[in-house]
Amino acid sequence: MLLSKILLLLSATLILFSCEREPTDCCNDNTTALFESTSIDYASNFDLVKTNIGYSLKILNPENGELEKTISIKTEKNKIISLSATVNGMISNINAQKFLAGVGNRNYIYDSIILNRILNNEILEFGDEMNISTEKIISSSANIILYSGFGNEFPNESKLNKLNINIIPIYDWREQHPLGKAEWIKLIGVLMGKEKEANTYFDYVVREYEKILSATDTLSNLPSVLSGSLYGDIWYAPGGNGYFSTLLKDAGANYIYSATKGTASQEYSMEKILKDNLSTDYWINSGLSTKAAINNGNPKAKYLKAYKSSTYCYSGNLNKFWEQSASAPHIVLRDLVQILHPEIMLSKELYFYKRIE
Amino acid sequence: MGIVKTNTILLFGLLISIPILSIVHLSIGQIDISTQEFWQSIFNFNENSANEIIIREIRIPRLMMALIAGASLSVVGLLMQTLFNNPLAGPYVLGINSGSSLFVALSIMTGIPFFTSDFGIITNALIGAFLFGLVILFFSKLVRTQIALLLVGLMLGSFISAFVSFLQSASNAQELKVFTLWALGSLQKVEFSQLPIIIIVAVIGILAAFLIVKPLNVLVLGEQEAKLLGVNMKRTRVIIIVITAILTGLVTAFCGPIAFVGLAVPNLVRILFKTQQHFTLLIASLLFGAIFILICDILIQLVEPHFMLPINVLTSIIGAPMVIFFILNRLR
Repeated sequence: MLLSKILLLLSATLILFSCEREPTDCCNDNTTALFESTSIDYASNFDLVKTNIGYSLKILNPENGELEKTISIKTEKNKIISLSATVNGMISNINAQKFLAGVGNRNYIYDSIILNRILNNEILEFGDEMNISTEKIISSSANIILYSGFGNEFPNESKLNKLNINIIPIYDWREQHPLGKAEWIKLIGVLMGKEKEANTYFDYVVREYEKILSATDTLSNLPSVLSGSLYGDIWYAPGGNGYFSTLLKDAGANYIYSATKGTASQEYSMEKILKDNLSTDYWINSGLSTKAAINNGNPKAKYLKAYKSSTYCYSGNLNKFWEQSASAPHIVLRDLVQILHPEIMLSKELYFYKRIE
Repeated sequence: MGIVKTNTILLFGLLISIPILSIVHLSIGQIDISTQEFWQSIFNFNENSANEIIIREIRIPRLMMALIAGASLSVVGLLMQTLFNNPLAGPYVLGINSGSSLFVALSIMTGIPFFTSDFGIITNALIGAFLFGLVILFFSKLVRTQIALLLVGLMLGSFISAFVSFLQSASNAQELKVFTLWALGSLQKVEFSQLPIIIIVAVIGILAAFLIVKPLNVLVLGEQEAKLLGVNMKRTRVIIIVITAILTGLVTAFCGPIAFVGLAVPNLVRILFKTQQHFTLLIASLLFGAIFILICDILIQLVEPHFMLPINVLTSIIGAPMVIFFILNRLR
């Protein structure tokens, strides 16, 4: 009995280990040819234009598509502070951790190399972007800060610009297509002097994504799906034009709010959620990871049909999902297909998700 | 027309407004409901009917909490204003609400196992309110005058607010969001099954306030005069603090801190009713308070399909101009 438990634990550890390597396995792929310049095919919130000294980066406003800022960047090893979890994941994907000068907070880091470098004081912690110390930034001698752009302007942005420190908002979370979200890795590659690795990785992701997509595009039985969770009195659900809505569509789901406009989250009352979703088949991204936590945080959810057997959340470590999923949409898609259409059997294990029992 | 007759008519008007506004409140929302579905949701509940779930779990608890929160906070506000002989006093001057905030902040924003255990936000808010109620009770035994107690309460509140702000600055975005949402107040957190206990506690607290009508009437003359007229000040003070802790703690625990009502409603009632008889003032405050939050929540429900408004935002947006209007009209 004990032996079987140990064997089970060992095999689970091996599966987990093999799974966790997956997002970076691509980079050993030698099939991609060398390239001349980085082109942007899926992302709609940034563009890279080749110049004599490197690239001209254009950041577009996700709300109206207008040019927000243009930054001249050199394709050399910049010293970067990353305050975005998805950027940290992309840096891990192209093994560029050693060029990272700073992060937000170690509690939100999943990558073990970044964590070790923080422990060895090779990467500094800067805390929340709204309370960030300008003096600490200047003393770190970083020349680029990457942040999520949730707020309007980075604190003291104009002062930092005068000191030749570029502030770049990473609007990957406002992309319409999951591959557009992942394509931001090309910008990270350019900034880190790892353009080739980033392009190779992204090409691999596109191939894998399309491979899975070809398995789902003939499906006729599309289960209904609710996504999101309740904060206070408001249920936040992915916008119909957002990347997660695209992922659900590509996974062969009938996302209940797919017809809504916009890439940002939609806000609903619990009354509307109950009215629209009493018989919805699946509830994905429930936010809470146990039934006890759901009962405590949103007891009215117990009336949803999906709550009884088909509720899924990010498995175990939340940092893992936020760090890795943006640049691994093929794995998120594979998980979703596995959940919604187990008959296709793309893999045996879920990588990012777990079912709430 | 005499003041007594005017006040009786006003009270009657407030009284009949409650069922009318309650029906309006119940019938507004994303779905239309029938009377049959309403009664079925209470007495013959069908878990598979969306309409019945919405009535039982959302609309009825929301209505009851609007009534209870409005009535309780207004009654407590009146008690505080009379005790301290100060129209700026409200349910929160004794720091009881701050106690709730502190415990909720600790439960959300620290990793301390006791606070993050299965207690949940409601229990933590209740513990915080009652613990700080006891602290104030302790201080009330030490200090002799009302003004000293008021100052102690305000200082305690300021100290805790600063500590909560410190916790907020050290917390992450997710924790900050959960706490901020709690602090915005909500009438929708309560479940149908929790209503009986909430109603019982609220009724006990409000009825207890009617037991001290006589000392309250004398307290209006001032602390010294009340003592000379034979009011046992210490006992009255203890009873008022206990009622405040029970009612403020109850509302804060289940709805979050709802601002303004406790401060504004008793002042409005005094202006409208022109009396110092606390029996009338208590009835008017609890009715007016309930109506005030009901109207605010009806407006919130009306705009809900377009955007979501927290209750705390609307109570202040509507309440502040209302008080200014009445002051300008009646007290110029």
